[in-house]
Amino acid sequence: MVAASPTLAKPADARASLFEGWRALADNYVARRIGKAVLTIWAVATMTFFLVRLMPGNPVEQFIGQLIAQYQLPYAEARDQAASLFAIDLDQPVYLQYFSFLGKLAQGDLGTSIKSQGVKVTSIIVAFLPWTLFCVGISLFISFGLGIILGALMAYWRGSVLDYSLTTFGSLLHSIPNYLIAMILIIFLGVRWELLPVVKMRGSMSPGIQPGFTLVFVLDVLFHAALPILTYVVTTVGTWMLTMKASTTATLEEDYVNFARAKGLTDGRIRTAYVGRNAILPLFTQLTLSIGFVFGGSVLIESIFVYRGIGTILVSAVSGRDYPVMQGCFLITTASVVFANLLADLLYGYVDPRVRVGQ
Amino acid sequence: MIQDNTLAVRRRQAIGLAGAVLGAAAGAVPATASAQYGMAGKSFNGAWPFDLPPTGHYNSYATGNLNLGIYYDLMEMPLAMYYWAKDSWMPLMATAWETNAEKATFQVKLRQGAKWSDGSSFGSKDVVNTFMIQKLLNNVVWRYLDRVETPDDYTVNFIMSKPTTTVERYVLRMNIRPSSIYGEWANKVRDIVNAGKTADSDEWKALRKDVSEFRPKSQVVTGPFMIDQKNMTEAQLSLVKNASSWAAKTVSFDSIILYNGETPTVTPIVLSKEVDYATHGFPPATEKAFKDLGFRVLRPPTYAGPALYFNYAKMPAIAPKAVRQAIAHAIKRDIGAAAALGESAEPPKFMAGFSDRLVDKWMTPDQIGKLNKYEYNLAGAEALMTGAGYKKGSDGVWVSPDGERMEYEVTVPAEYADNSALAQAIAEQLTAFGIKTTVRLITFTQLTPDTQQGNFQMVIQGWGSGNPHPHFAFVADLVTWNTPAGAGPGMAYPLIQKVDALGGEVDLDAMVTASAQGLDKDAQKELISKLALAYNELLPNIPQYERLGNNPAPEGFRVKGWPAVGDPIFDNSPYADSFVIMLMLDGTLQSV
Amino acid sequence: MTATSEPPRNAVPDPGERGVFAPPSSFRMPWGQATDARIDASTLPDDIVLSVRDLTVAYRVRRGTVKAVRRISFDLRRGETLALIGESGSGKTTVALALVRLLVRAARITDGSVVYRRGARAVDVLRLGAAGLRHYRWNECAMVFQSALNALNPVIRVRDQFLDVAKAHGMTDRRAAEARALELLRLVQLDADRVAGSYPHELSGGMRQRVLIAMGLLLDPQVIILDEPTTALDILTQRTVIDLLRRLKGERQFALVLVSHDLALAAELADQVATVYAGRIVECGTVADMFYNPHHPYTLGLLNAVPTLSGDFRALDSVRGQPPDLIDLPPGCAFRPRCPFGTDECEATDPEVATVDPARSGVAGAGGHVVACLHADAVAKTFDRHASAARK
Repeated sequence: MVAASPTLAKPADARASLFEGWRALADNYVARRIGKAVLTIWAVATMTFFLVRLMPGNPVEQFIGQLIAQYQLPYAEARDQAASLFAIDLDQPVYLQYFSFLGKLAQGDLGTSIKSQGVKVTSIIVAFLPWTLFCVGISLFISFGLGIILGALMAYWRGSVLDYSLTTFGSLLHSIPNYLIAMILIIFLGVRWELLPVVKMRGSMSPGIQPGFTLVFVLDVLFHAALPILTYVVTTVGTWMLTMKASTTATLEEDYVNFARAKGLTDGRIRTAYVGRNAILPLFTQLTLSIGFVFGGSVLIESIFVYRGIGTILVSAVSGRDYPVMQGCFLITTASVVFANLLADLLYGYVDPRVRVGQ
Repeated sequence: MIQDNTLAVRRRQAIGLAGAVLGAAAGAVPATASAQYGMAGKSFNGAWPFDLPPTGHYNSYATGNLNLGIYYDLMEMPLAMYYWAKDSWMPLMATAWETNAEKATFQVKLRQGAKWSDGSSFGSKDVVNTFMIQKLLNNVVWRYLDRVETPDDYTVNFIMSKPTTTVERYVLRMNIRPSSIYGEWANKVRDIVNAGKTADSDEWKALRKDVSEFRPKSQVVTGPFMIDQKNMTEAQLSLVKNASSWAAKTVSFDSIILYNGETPTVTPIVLSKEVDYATHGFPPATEKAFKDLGFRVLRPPTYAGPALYFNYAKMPAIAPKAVRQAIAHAIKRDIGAAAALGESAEPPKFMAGFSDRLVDKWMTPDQIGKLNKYEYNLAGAEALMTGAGYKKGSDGVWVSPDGERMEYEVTVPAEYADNSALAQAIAEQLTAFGIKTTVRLITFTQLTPDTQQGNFQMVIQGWGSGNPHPHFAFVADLVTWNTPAGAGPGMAYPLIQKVDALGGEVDLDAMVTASAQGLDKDAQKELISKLALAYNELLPNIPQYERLGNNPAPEGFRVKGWPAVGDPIFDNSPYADSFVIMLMLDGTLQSV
Repeated sequence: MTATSEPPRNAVPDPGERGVFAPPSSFRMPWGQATDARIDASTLPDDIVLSVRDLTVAYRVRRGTVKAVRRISFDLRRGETLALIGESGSGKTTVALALVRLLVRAARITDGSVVYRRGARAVDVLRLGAAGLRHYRWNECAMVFQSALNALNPVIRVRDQFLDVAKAHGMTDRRAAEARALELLRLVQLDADRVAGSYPHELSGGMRQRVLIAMGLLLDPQVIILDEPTTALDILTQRTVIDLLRRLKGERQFALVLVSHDLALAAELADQVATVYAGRIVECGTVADMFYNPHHPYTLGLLNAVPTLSGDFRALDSVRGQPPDLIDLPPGCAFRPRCPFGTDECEATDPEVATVDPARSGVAGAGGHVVACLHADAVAKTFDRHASAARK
């Protein structure tokens, strides 16, 4: 409680009531969580702003280097071209750039691209993000679902051939970087064995397809997303599988599971409501964290499969030192992770009554 | 055994099934797609990285545009393209041109009867407007131009303020843009120029910004191809035939499909025989795979390559030229070249500072004979060192007369596999010779700033230039990464030097500048020869090899008619004057 | 170790004798499918509900085979309470788990039989099929686990956990089941509505223990097994639970197997007490037998290890040393290394269970007094001296 000491005069009371209001707000779980999320985004925005500018080479230098390397232009000529093409003031003090960035950010304006001048970063993100979300979302869904089913099976059949082979398989896949898997898929399934039309599968849709809710479009989009999704799933399912196995194994040892057997409950009910539900709990938090990792992983996978998405533009923005686009990509990635975490925190109470809001 | 077999069969069936499912989807979907799309025509398949809209766009004056590199010349065509070996031109939007030395004027006669794809006719207004906007953008040609005049619809006069032969190439290689789209911008430039504004005025900067943010809705071209805007995906785009182009008839192809991507993503497509020509730098292993498939691999010279640069501010012991000559003798250039790019690296014989291919065009046999070829000679190298007063310490490392122990780092970007392999080879050989060298890996974006600011001891940087005039090669060799021009001290090599071959002290900087000035080509040749001799003697940096392209060009899938190996057209620099484009335009390359 | 002088008893009589089976009217017993589970109940006295013979459990660990339960035999009479008392690791919990076949995966029942009987019907629990076993568990024999704190599913409300049990055993009427659950919760003196709507973590340890007991009563089983029902609770709550159990026992007439290390608890609740040492019942008798006429040095040691009921303390010359390694048992009597009465003879033979009073039943649990010790008489005399000395 915050009752001000009686010796304090009135202004202090006012302060106390303000303080009390603040306390009430701070005590509100949801408000606290949202506040934390906003703070995180601000911190990340600030960090990316400065880190991006600390990266060696600025967009103009990058472009000059490119002109010299590719077209063997003399330095002076390359510099003149670059300087005139980039109508930006990189010499403005960084702190001024920062405040103008923050101000715009607060209004939802992420600035304009340096590489493609005048193009709003938000419009780039709007054009690319849905594809990443689609691909990552489906992948995560499949990977998580498959992972928990296989993991649970492994736990139930501990020591079986299935367990051993899946464990080996899972830890193997877990340790191979996803871009290698992507390359292997392309090289072997596509080029060596000619089982897949990898050239046609590049991109996120076929040329000439009109977007819309038509079967042709949906099929085409799935066809193009198949390899990126397969790669995501293959590289992440191992982790889910092994975590779920560990979690299920631990849960199977729990007294309430044994007790459920003693109570003569049916196996189906024990597997779902007693083992499954409790075993998934620790994976739930991990799921939200992994959204960030999957976004990170999308960078290489999208580049390799030439899939439209946030990863592709991030790669091209980084190589061209397109600060605003880089910032936008990092920020949107962070925001989605933070948002996912927030959602998870708020939803977790519904999944696990022990941490229910308001306790 | 039986079980094994059935398992294998089942596995194959399973893979086949998975393939079939996807394949069926593939078959079902693109069948309808390509029907709408009309891909039935004869296509030439290439590869070039591009950005889709909204990042990519059709304003060819602004960065990030969809100009598609070498393929740009097929759309907004230039006035002409250059045959490097023959020192002659292929007229495109220009048909004739001449230099009037007295009037310091370069006059161009334009192609008559050519039309833009929007129906407007092509003429001198398009050329002058293009150059007006280039003036706004500080294009280098305006360093030498005073003004551009149009006596009639098909004549353009370029009046030079500083006459130079290099203007010819700057002008003729300019891609001409349509006035129907950029005309008003050119007028605005004219307005502020007439108002006496200069490049550093606010109006100038504001207009520059406006131009770079201008986004035309579509492309208007003179060339035989234009981007098919409706059917662009991040995977590929196609250039469709612009039947109204004057050049449309001679080109055998109906469309050009360009696959998006850098080397790793393009490689599988090439291996799938879907690409007819690619300029990406493929590693030797990939090149071998191409050869195994029977692909022809073209090796056009790029007229440039990596050299070993020294930082004279940080390595006092490197100052005597004898030491650098010794180093040149101590490095077997074949080793580094082979390690870096295999057959696509060609160590220079003449060490003239510009490509061996151009040497006999600019120097007399007598002068060429004076060039030291710096063949591998360890004993000679030791003698040079000893002669300069250097001694080997007990650990086998050279020590300068001032007591500097010769132990250095050579900086190279880790991402450039060819240059890092080269640096490794150099480091090993120098260490064996007694100059203890370690390789310092940096990230590629660090290379330009580090070199500029002199943050290195030795670094692998470029020599030579993709311009047929050796002046540009000497700019790269002596000026680009050196004190007067760059943004920092760079290699800090003094450009006033005593050169024995030239009989005394010379100002290299002045010579380089002068080598491109004036309209007297013989005078230029004399200067270039002197520069070559000076460079050859001084070796401010040591060229390691000239990079050749390794462009896969499989024949027979969609394309036929490639000229034989050794055809002079393949002396063209693959980026500066793409022979593929020229062969397509003159009808040599045919669809199957 | 299991090499016994006695041949293993055939727990499965000739399947030909099956005429005795007549399904009781009020119970649906799905044991018909488990034909090989049928045994002859007629050889058992009428009042025996559970008859365990030569039950032997072993499980494999990396170091070898743990002989957790060694040829344990006892009978449980209807409505009576049998307490299994022993130190931790003595195998008493394993016995309890074996009775409902909930042993850990590595464990195997290598020998013996567990015959359960209701009315004229009897089955060998160890041979029940999956459906029969599921019915047996909770319907007939409810086992409430040691760790009441963790025995409830943390993510399901108490009410739904009751309903889970009801549904699993065919009580399809949700409302009736819920009403019965609430009634039982009230019976164990809980605020039924509140508790039913709670998650386990919202309840105290004593409340959870009572929820479990209520749940045990849901299907009116004939046998309830309680493993350490009071261990995790504070003294006051222990008292509540003990009183509750005593009351319920009186009202409901179920037979109770009480597994505990706490002799005092046994004294309060049990009719029969068995001391378990190194996987064997070393002595079993009525509460009076065990407290006033112990014949096994281990029982004696346990008695000395606790304060007497009257409150004054005896000389606590409790059991010295550690329980034996169940993988590598000492030769002869397993208690020999800790036994003050031990002789060389004890190392040579592992004594069989023998009756103390030939006039009473020779089997543990059913009112008999049995002991497995070569020096049983000497032990009994020592206790007498000790007890009379204490009385003075």
